[in-house]
Amino acid sequence: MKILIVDDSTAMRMIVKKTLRLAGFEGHDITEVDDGAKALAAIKASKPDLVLSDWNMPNMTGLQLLESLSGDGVKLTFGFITTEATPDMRAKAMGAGAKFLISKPFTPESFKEHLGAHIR
Amino acid sequence: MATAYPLPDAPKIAELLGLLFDGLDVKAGGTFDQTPAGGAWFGVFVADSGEPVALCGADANLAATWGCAFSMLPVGVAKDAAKSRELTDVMIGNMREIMNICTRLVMDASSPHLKLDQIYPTKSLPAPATALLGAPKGHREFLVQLPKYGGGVLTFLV
Repeated sequence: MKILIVDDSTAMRMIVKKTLRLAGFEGHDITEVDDGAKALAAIKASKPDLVLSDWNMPNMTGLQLLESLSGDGVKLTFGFITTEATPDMRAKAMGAGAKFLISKPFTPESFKEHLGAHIR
Repeated sequence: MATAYPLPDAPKIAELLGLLFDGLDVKAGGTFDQTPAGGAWFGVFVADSGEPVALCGADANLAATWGCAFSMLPVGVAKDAAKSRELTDVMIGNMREIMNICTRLVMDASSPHLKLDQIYPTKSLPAPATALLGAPKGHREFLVQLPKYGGGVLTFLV
């Protein structure tokens, strides 16, 4: 399965990758980019199965990325991993087509809970 | 005197930062050199008002260790940086990444919002942060070691 991690923090991308491993999601093709605009190009080029995106990023936010993908008719599983998760953010995320929103700090257990249905 | 912000313990630090550094060892203890000449680096965490409410400091040895290990720079580069007390731009960028992750160590479900504002060497800390450094309501020190690289002392102040 092809998984794209989108976060402007190198450290956070490292933590997401390691938490995926700790949650038992190993053996996947994981790539990463550091902003929404690069993610948009990467998604169109490589067509990942799953995108794990931060919310706030330079150039293009995670929500703008998701809305752009939806507008272009790109079909994939998209979820947010973000520091803040207000009810308004959750509503916007789900309204735009996100499958889940995981708030930081996350754990291998919360990854299993939210991602188990989406990673095979 | 209690504050609204928690201080982490060694297991919590090891659990979080162990996601960045394999084999990270964290033990309570150590003496932190916070003199301007000591070469430490601090993350300054601010409340929504902009007021500094927490500090995380890495002494000169730990700053050099983390600054290099995060990008897997050679151990010798870390030793030289610790000795000279000078970090390159790459090491400073790495320290900022790590300090940003450390935000999670001075917050919990009930604490008010805070965020990393900036990182500074001790000698360049803004006055409000220096005031917090000089009179914290609470602080904890930790001995932090990384395989091959070595380590140093980490401190949290609130």
